Amino acid sequence: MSNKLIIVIFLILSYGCISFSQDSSNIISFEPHHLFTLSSGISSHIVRDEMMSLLLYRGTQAPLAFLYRFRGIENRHTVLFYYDYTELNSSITKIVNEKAVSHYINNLHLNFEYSFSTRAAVFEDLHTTCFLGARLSSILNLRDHCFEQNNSQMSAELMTGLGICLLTETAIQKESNNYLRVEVNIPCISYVLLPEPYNAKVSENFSLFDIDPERNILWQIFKKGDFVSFNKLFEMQADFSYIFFVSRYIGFDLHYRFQYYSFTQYQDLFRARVLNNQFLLGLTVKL
Amino acid sequence: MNTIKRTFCILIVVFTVYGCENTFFEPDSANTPENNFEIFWKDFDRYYAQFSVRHIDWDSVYTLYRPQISPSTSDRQLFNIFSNIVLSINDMHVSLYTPLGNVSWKQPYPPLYPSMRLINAFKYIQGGAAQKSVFEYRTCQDPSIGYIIIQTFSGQSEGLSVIDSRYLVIDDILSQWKNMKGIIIDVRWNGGGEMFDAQAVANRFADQSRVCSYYCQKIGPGKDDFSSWKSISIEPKGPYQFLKPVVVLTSRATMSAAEFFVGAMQVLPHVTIVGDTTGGGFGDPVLRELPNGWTYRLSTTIGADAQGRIIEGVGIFPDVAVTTTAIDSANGIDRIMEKGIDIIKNSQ
Repeated sequence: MSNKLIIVIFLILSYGCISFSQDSSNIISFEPHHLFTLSSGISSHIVRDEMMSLLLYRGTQAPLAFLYRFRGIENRHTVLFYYDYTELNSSITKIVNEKAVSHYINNLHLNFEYSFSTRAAVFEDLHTTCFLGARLSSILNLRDHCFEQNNSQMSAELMTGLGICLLTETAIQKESNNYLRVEVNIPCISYVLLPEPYNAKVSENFSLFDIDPERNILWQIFKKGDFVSFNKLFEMQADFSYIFFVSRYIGFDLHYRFQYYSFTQYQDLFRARVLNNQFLLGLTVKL
Repeated sequence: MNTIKRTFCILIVVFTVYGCENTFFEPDSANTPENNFEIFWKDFDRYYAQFSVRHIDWDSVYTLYRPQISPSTSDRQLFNIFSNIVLSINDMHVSLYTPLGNVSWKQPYPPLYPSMRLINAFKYIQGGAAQKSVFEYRTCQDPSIGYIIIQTFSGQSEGLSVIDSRYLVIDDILSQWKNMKGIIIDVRWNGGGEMFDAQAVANRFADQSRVCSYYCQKIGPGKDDFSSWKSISIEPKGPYQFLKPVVVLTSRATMSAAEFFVGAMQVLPHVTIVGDTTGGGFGDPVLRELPNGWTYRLSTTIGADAQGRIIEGVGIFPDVAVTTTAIDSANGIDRIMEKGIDIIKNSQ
């Protein structure tokens, strides 16, 4: 059994254990409401892009995330915008005066997500509500790999995936809006773009030579993607949130996110793997 | 109490997952001479596209050099071995960058090959004309013939544009030269750069959409793992197409993106390629690095001209082969330039 599979099983079991562990509180009863959260904290980013290097590159940065949640009686809607721009260093990064001068990566990480889930089960004895739905997620990791001064190479993945969303919410305190939120997402099918010059070099469907640089390049690149599934892309994501309110409208969101993907286009050539861990603290407004 | 339990449970999960880096990533390769050689050799073995077209037995490279490397091999010794390997591939797109120096194979010129610069320039062109950006342009002594030098196609993309706007100055030049009898474009010392910039310039001379070259890519680790051949085309772009006679001057120093430009111009019926065969290196290189911090690049594509002839290591043949010898050069005669002027003067 592969290590990745073990982690997947571990996360799903953890999800179940956390969600269904006994609690003295009741299921939360509330009016439908909107939650707006602006978060920041620490993001740890690790990448091994074999197109550029066999070495691990890692770095931490303060990200910025905006989250909107709608909590209805039956349904949940979530929209997320996430941004971080991180300098990643490896074991051979040359640092002069605390500044990387060679063998480093400037990594732009953008994430957009929309998920919809509907109440699938209520376990009153276990004080937990389960939701099942779908998630549309788009991830961009754009890397500028600076080998030496004036000698750099771009690399990226842009993946837009549709997958399953499992969500549980459990009240922490009786008759309060504080709750614990655990969410696991696994994309089933994704549309992947591989801009030049990294993985795209080996893509049958994409080549920078095929596009007309004097026309709208974004649209042309967008059309050159591939639909992939587990055969080429393995992606998983888990979120753990604790949301607590200090007043009727103002609260805080303690959030941990785990995100990992591994992508290869052909015969395991130039596999790109990215692991991202985020610890975020957000200010939440309830309307 | 149960809340505490649950929180504790979450923290265990969070820190377990957070600490699972080793589950998803194997440790970095060791920085030893043997391992650096193994990675270097294996990378080329899997990704380099041109062994067959350059008639290189890569396994013999391993057999020859691997026994020379041991844990005690110094950086200098390893550099010398890598340099020998890089130079033996005979590909201008294969390079090694290290603190001990950079190594790239250069196309050797034939004996007595003259300076690549326009010889005795004032004999052929008028002085004092405008120069713009990456182009130098003047009229010839016959003012009905324009002369453009494109020194490089090394451009920089700006924002979302992949074309360096400096190359679009060609539109201004051509709009000024609409009434010219013909134009000579000199790329004899153009070592290449960005394919898009070369394509953008060639598009200004295209009468219709035409396939100008082909390429295939390495798509697997096996020696025969290549994509199918894909075509590259040029097509009319910009406010004005110059469809009168055009001569492109070439030499052995015309390389890479400049060769793409020559191949693109060669498919046009009003264009004549004059000079020497081009350098013979089309392959689009990628950069990679070793655990010791050395960087190298290698070609992952094979290029061919519009007729499907592979140009790697061969070059593009001119329509009219002319060489300027060192003796000509000493006498102030640029035979390639003279032939170009003659072709335009004698055109209908």
